[in-house]
Amino acid sequence: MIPSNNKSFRLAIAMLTASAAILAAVPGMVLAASPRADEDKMILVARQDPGTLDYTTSNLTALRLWIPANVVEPLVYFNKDGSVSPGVAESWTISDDRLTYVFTIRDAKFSNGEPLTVEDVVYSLNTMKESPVSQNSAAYQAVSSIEKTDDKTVTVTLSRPSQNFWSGMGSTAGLIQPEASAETIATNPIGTGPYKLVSYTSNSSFEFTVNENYWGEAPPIKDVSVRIITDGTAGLNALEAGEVDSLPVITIDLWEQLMARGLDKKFSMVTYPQIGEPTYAVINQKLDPELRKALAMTIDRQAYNDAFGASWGAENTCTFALPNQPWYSAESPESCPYPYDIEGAMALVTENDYASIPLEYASLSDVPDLSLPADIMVPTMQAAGFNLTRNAIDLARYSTLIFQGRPPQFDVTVMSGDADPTQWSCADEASAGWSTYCSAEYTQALADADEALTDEDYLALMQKAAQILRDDAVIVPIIAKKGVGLFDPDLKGFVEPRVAVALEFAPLHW
Amino acid sequence: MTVAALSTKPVRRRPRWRTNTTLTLGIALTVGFVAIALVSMLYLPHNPNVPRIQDRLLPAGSPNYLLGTDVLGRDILSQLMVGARTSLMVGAGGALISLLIGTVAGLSAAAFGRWADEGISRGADIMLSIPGMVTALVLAATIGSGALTTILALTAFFTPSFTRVIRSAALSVLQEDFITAARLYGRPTWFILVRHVLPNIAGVMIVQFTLYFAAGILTEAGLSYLGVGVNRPSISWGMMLNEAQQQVGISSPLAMWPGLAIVIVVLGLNLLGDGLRDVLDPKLARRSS
Repeated sequence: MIPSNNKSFRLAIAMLTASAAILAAVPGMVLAASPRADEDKMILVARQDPGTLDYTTSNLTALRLWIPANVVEPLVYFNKDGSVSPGVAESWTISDDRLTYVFTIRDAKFSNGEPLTVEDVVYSLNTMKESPVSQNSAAYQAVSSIEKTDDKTVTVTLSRPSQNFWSGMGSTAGLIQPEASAETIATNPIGTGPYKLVSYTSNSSFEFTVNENYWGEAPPIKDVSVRIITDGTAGLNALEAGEVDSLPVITIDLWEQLMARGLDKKFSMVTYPQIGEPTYAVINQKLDPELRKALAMTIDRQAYNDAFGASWGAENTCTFALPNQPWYSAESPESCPYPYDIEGAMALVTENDYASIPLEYASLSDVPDLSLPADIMVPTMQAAGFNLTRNAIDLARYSTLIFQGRPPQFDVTVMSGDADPTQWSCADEASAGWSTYCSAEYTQALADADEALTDEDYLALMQKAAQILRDDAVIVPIIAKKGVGLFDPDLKGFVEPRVAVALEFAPLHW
Repeated sequence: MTVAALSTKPVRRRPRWRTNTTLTLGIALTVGFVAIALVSMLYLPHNPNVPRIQDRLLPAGSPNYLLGTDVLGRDILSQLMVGARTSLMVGAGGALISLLIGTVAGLSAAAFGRWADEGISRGADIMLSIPGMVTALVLAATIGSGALTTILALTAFFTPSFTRVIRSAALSVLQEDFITAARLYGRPTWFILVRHVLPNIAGVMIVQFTLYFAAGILTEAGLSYLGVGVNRPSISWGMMLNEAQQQVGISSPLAMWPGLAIVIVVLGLNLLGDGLRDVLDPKLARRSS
């Protein structure tokens, strides 16, 4: 029974209620400082397990986020402002004809204490040249020789100028590893970076600590733990509960939730393009070009953007690129040859009797951010009059039908992935990738761009290639998603990735 | 009133099924579920697959949307109605096919001698040792996911259980004196099974059917939740749960509605099964009288 006449009891209840109201009304007030701050530690969250740490044979983002730049360094770093900083190479010279690159290797040691040698650099570059990962090997298409000049320098000779080669030296294609440790690269990659890998437990965590042999300034945070939490909501919960200090990569399906929970106010939110992805429709090239264009006209980009409820993190685009790539352009009448026009599409369907052509839309049933666009796209295409059926399949079956099937069994699908434009180039039709796309004109435009001697020429030629891709309506970009991350407000110093998508630990500090 | 008058007036008792509250509630819920599934074939408030982005994530009670909308502005009520149809088709289909195959196999095991019994029973043991979910995943990976695959998976999962139950019930009936009399009278085995055994195990079959119907709905929801069951344009409550999972932090009722539908329907079928067992089991009937 409540002692209603007890004055001190009522006062205590009133104070308790007032305190609760104040705490509830002030977001972030209850957020305590991370207990890791005083211990020079931080805990980050990864959504995916890479399975292997061998960056020479795998290009999984789950691997490229953590190992490059932190453990294994490239020859050079390309900064956001366009400048180039030394990495494993202390200095370099490029001949005027851009056919000869001479790299001077710094005096440094790998994290295992072994000295960095020119032989290691030659071995690393040759390994990447033979890499099964096209993004790595593509940088070496023009390379004719990689030779040791003396104990400090390596000379790379090209048969023709190549923009891809130079940019690759600051990306995963230019990562340097010790030849003696090549056999353990899948579980324990070694490099000259500011951190070394202490342990990697599959589907559990990565543990890093500072590399005492690092040639540069020691990073302020000594130990870094990366926990693998595949459930996005569980990751957000862990951050809110103070169990971890950052979710550096938050996928689009969680953006609306993080805003609804006010996490963008409680934590420091960063957006950066490097880890972003374009979402694009793929229309089978075997279909008539006019039919492809009519299908492209049913794609309502704004509807896709609105469906995710977080338009601040994604931009409508008709260009296969991310905003940090200079040939990127947002959706506009100039950059969209087939803008959303449902009436126009319906007229084309009637005029050309496209309703008599059965089409199949292959959609992934177990990947939420790809099934959502399909939920919009299929009814819209059906409403336009196309005779379209949806084949919803799981990832394993999708992989068999789409990625490995030759020819792939689909007419329309939707995909999210790397913004590398070279993945759509093909030397001959038989070698066309899963998209079936093979355009001699597009492939030539990319090759011409690669040979450009100036940045201006390179940009102009890449824009030309992007226009060919747009006009063909096989790869039809929809939105460009940014990378989004949340950090503890006391964890400062985030810098945008410089080596592909790698998140650098060294600049971060409490 | 005299004693004689009392003894001549017949005692009128209400039928047992009418006094069984469990059965009545089970029938009410199941009939409601079937009615909604049937109505969905004739009428839906909205097309459940057409997105209306401007109406996304509306709460329950919004104009035109009784239970609100999902992340693409699709009507939740319409999706639940179509989901009821899918559950009815897949759950009842899987249970019915399993019942038919299990009945034939169970009766054969009970009536056609040791070798038939050993063969069928060990076959059922082997099938029971394979987890149903694994069967479903393998089927989805090989022939593709969908309602038909789910029915096939349920059939593979349920048939051994039906076989065992039917065999056990049939063996019990086959030991009765009237069966011996029928044999002595020269009736063939198939005639005895159809004429004498089946009617006597019908109660068991009906009860088992309702329970496996409920299990089928749960399994289908689980498979669709994992993305290997029913997919759009078909709609399932499990698939709705899967889609709602992404929005739980934004709009909790999205996951609540299909979850509630599954709970109510499975509860209804289980109550129906329990009630039917009470009414149809002769031993229970004797005890209650």
